[in-house]
Amino acid sequence: MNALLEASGLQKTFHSRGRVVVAVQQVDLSLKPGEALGIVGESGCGKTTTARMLLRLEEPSAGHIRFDGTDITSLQGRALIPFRARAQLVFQNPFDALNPRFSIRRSLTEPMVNFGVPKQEHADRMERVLNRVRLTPPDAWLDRMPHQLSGGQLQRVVLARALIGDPRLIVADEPVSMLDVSVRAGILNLLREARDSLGLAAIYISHDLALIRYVCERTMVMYLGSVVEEGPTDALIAKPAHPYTRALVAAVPVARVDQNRAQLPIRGSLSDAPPSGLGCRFRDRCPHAQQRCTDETPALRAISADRKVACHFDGVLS
Amino acid sequence: MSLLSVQGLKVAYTTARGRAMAVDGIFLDVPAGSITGLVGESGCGKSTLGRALMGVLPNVGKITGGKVVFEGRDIVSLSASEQRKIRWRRMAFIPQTAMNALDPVQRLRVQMLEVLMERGGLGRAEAGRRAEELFRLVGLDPVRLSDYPHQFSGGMRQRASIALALALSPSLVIADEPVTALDVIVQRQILDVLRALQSRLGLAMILVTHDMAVVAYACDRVAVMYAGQIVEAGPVAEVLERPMHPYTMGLTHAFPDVHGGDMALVPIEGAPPSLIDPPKGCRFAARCPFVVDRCAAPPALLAHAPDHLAACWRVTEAESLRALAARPATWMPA
Amino acid sequence: MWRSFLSFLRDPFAAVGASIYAVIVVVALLADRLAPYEPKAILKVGARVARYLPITSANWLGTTASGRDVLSQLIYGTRSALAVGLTAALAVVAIGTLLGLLSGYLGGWVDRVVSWFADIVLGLPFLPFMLVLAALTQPGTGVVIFSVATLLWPNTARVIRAQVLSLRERAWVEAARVTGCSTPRIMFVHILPQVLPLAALYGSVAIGWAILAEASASFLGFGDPNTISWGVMLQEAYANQALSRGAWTWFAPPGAAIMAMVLAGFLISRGSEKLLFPKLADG
Repeated sequence: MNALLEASGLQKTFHSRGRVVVAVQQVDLSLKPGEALGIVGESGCGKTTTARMLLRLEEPSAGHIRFDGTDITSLQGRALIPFRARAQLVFQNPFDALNPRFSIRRSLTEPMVNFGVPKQEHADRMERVLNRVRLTPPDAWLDRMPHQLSGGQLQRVVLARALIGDPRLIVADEPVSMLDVSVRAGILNLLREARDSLGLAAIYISHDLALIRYVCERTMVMYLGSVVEEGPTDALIAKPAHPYTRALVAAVPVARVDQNRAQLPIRGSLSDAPPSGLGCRFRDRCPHAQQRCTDETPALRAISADRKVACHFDGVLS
Repeated sequence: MSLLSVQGLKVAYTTARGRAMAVDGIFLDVPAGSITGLVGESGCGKSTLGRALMGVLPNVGKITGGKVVFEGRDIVSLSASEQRKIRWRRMAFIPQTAMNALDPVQRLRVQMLEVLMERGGLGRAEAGRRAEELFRLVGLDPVRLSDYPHQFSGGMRQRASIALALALSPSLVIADEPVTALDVIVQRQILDVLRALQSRLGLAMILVTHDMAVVAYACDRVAVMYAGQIVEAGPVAEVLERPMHPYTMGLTHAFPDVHGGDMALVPIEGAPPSLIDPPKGCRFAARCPFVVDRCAAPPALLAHAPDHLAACWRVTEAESLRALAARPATWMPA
Repeated sequence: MWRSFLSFLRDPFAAVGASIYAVIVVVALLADRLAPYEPKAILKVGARVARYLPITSANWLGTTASGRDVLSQLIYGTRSALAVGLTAALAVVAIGTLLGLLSGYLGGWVDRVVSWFADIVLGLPFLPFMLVLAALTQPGTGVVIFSVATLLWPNTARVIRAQVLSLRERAWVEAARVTGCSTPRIMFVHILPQVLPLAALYGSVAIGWAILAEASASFLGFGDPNTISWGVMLQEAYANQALSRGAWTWFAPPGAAIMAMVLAGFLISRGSEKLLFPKLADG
């Protein structure tokens, strides 16, 4: 099947106080219709910047993005509207994602007007998306203001707004991290459901592998702006090939006793990383680092049909 | 005997819409040398309880009843200056964001020395040695004492604020969501530091968190809070494996498990009740899938197994309810 | 909106400031009923023009050199004060908000050009600018309003710009982009309503400034001598040496009225600091 979203050589560099900071380096990515991809990594690994570039909210410094066969890398203004209708975003902080002065009705109507949805369809569509996110009966919610809603309800409205233009792709950036534990599962289930019944493709951004595993069949691990490992989520968690992935998996706490008490296979902190340049940027924190890791930058390459890793040792050290 | 025994503690907030009982009759025992997790969702009163014990409630908050017996004395009845003497010396506080504990314009050495010399009464040389020792204890290079907080990463700042909290050798440390703002790997490293300190120094710790997994990893005991009250308490393994309160049962199925099977998560529909005018009976009743007529009266927090307390009318049926609670359909709104 | 206005009035500074404005508005609206005489009517005592009458029950603030009732002039003066003040304030707010919005949201060269103009304008001295302008064109309220609008917008523009810079980072602004809103739509439909309270505040300060400017211009003889305004009253009093004659009932009331208006603007801005910058008040 043809890819819905394809990115090649995505790069983002920022200039701050005369220094050049590489936030995202050479990211290639491909997403089939209906597929869910997770991007994991710690803060500052470039996962959010990558997602923002894919949605054309941030201009890539280099690289190309194709959506549904069209190159959207440099579309501007009105030319971007069809893409906007097809690719939507679910925000991390539901308390800030809706205009505080807009009623729910207005927040849902505005995208439809922008996307050119005929007016007679508006009421129908609002009813449909609100039912989908379980804000029922829809009429009871349309005229409320954001400040009258709880975090979980707000996130449902945000999801409803994302769905109102019949998108084919949803990007969710830490969609539940600001929510109370008891309502997180509800939002995750809605996201899963929307994908199953609408055939949406999805990209989830999170630092939590457990969450990613719940919603994504494929995962990309990023470290300091580069992809270090990619593969089916279950395989990647069961048998991580990159030492950094291994540390991430080991660090995820589990709500059961006597789990994961093993020593973390990682040293130091993110701030110890060597500057970008020659060599593996994980080497100073890697328990298996050797001379080669300083001399040579490991490329991201396939180790099996569906897995890629950027390590000289391809996971043989595990 | 417990190091800390909270007996019927009540804390009220004055709000524009009335008086909210954020903590409404809490009973909690913290044994010496153990880590007790205090879990619940936002607004359940867990942070308020931590702050009330520490005497750092915001201005609108006030302790309106109950006792806090710490090292054999009720500290609520003591004068403000005596309370201060005990707090910060025998009890220490680690806030969620380390920047709240650290002074951004002072080198860490200056901040450590100030606490050690002025509050701890140490001489300059001895205080300097102690500061270095504390830094090593939390896994920081003593050289970094000459740095400012902004030169530290988030994890290092949290380590520094732990070192600062330990300066006066407290017997109890209250940590309010100490790892919430951190990435997973750093989170794990900080939890490891806390555990190591607890076993090396024999500290008791109250770890306030919303995350059951953090409790499972780092705590010996756990108290589950809901709407200003404790609904279940006991040893972590006991509570997680054999939860007796439906809320706890829900929480244990509310998170995805990185290694578990492909089970659907269960959301707990609805929201906690208002603390200004809470329901007369069980406060969880409105969200509970197992609600019965008896729930209109408030259930007491009683021991139903050795050292395992729960406040639920149907606690004798806990085993069959647990099986039901694992099914998402149970939690679907009718 | 209404609720924040009420909490605004709970501040004593703001309440006093707003009350002053409220009184002026009421007086201006009811001027023809409140004023005991036609402001330009020349009063007579017997056959003589009633010059320099002291305070009496008939003329509460006495009369002018040409026998006109001071109180009536003062009351009618509120109309021109409000007309000048409101028009100028509206112009300041419109220009300042628009430029602040553009430079804050668009950034880049727009921001640089606006800042450059603001710097130049802030360097111009107010009174000389207005006087030169009045001398070159036709003196009158038009010049006053134009000068206030031209010279006062940078203050408004700067605070609006700062506010827009922080609003621009909010997730709901990004949400507007991702749901297909055009840049003008984001600026005027999403962001503008959020900065309007701040703009209104700066406008209320500009009212006081504009009235002071009008008074200064009139006093220096660049006003419109046919209107009745507090500045013209002061100018006439001065020209007739009211001060040395001790006719304080003639010049003190318009002076006090001008001061009250400027003070009201100041009090309102002072009082709303807490509302607009809550952190400032906490710290």
